[in-house]
Amino acid sequence: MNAKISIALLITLLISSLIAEPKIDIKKAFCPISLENPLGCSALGEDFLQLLISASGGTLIIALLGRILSIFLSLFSSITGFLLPLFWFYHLLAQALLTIPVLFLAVLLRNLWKTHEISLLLSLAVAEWALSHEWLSKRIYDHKQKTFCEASFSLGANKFFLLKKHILPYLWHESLILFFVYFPNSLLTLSALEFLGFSQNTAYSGLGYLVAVGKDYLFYKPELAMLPALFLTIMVFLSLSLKKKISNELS
Amino acid sequence: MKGLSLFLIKKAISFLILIVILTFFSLFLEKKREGSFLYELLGQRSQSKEMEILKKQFHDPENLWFNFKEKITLFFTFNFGKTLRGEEILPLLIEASKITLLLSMISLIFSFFYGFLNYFLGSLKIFWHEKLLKLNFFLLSLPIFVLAIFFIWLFSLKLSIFPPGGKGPLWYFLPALTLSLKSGARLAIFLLEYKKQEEKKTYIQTLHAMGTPKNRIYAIHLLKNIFLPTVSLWLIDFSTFVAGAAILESIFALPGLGFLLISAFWQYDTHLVSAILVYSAFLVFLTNSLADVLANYFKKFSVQSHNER
Repeated sequence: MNAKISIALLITLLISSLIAEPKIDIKKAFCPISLENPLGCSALGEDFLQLLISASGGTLIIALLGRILSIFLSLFSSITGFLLPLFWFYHLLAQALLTIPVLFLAVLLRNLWKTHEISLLLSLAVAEWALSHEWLSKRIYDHKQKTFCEASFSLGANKFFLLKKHILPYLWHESLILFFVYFPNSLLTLSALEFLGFSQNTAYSGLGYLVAVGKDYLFYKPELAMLPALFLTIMVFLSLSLKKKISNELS
Repeated sequence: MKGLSLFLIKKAISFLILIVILTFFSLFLEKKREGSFLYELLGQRSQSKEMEILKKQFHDPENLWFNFKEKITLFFTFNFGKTLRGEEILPLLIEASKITLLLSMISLIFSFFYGFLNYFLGSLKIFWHEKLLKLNFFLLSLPIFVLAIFFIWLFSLKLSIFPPGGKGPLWYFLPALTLSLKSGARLAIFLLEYKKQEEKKTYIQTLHAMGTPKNRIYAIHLLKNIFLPTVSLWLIDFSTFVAGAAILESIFALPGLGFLLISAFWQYDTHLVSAILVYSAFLVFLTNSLADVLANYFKKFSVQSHNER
């Protein structure tokens, strides 16, 4: 799928989620499809289409912010590892964290902060830090080995100058690739956390949470689980298409 | 022999460092969490009087360093201690990991067949290659729990062929199918892309020019080169199996490692949580080391073959 179409669809979803306001009306619980409720109503009488759009936006925003935070953390750790003698500390920590499945790590980190939304965001960011850090550190190391960097170093440039003039412009480009390459994984990890109930007590209802609630009605109202699942699949599919196109173009 | 002993020593040292970091990390996180095992145990009866009585009886030192020293000593003597409810952790872990490993093994076998089926279908006709890539990308976009719920709806509710959960031989089929389709899709994409790259190489074009049947090229020459990287990828993917199994165990009510971790987490059982983390890290570390060995063997094998030519 065209990268521009994927971005346009994701942005449209994000903006619509800010407008959508599903309202609880228990008298309209499980109402049928109509002009007023194009996809029917939920168990609490909310318009299901608005609920889906609002939940999609919530999941997308948290995944986006989590991904951005993860990249900032890994940029910080890879740069400080380069400038200061902290490389082995970060490397050992990253190797240790890489042996734990990302989902287990996100579960552990879930209650790190008192505010539940920030806690969820932090858990997502830190759980993905190890992979991003190893990627960026390896890129810094490879870039440092290049002829022009070695020439600059041997002409008397210090590490800080090397970082500012040669490595940072390159790292910015790599961070962009890293963002798109692992964004689908962030969406999948976040939706899994929401499904397992780790997004409780947050201000938003994610798509994973809607699937978890909908599966209780799987026998007589399968659409309550299938429609959030479809929205989630479409979002992940769009981000996978983006990942492929953009990482090919940027590479 | 010297190379092998050096390799084993390096792996043993990295594993020891791993255990130390993981134990400290899990204890630190558990200490930072709001709530406690005592509140969870008392539930609605957590009035201050009863909480004070329990706190006196339950000696849980607040000191993180003390907890860490105690835990590390236990791990290095292969004693994971007891859960907060008094059960021995090691037998619990072994029972749970049998289920997770069995599920992972069955899924690995299914995914192997699915991946190579895609490879052979993609080799038969060129236009199938693109369609299979798109199908597998779509499968990869499906979150694992979505696939699981779809299979429950289809096979258990609509068709009533397989049970939706529990513990028994038939009850592994649906979770194994779900897990294997996800990892099989990754394997299929890897095989199809690798095949496309290998097809451009000189030796394959020479074989085509010599009139070698297409089936022979894909089934023998290409497959030989693809097999070892596939096994390495499979082994590296093991941690994804463990994470996927955790979600599926919750959906299909299988009492495996992931299910144990999530219930231990909600019950604030620090001992069990850190034991499960170390245990699952050990399994992942083992498979990654095996993948390293295979990757090195593959490198030596391809360098040797290149030199012989």
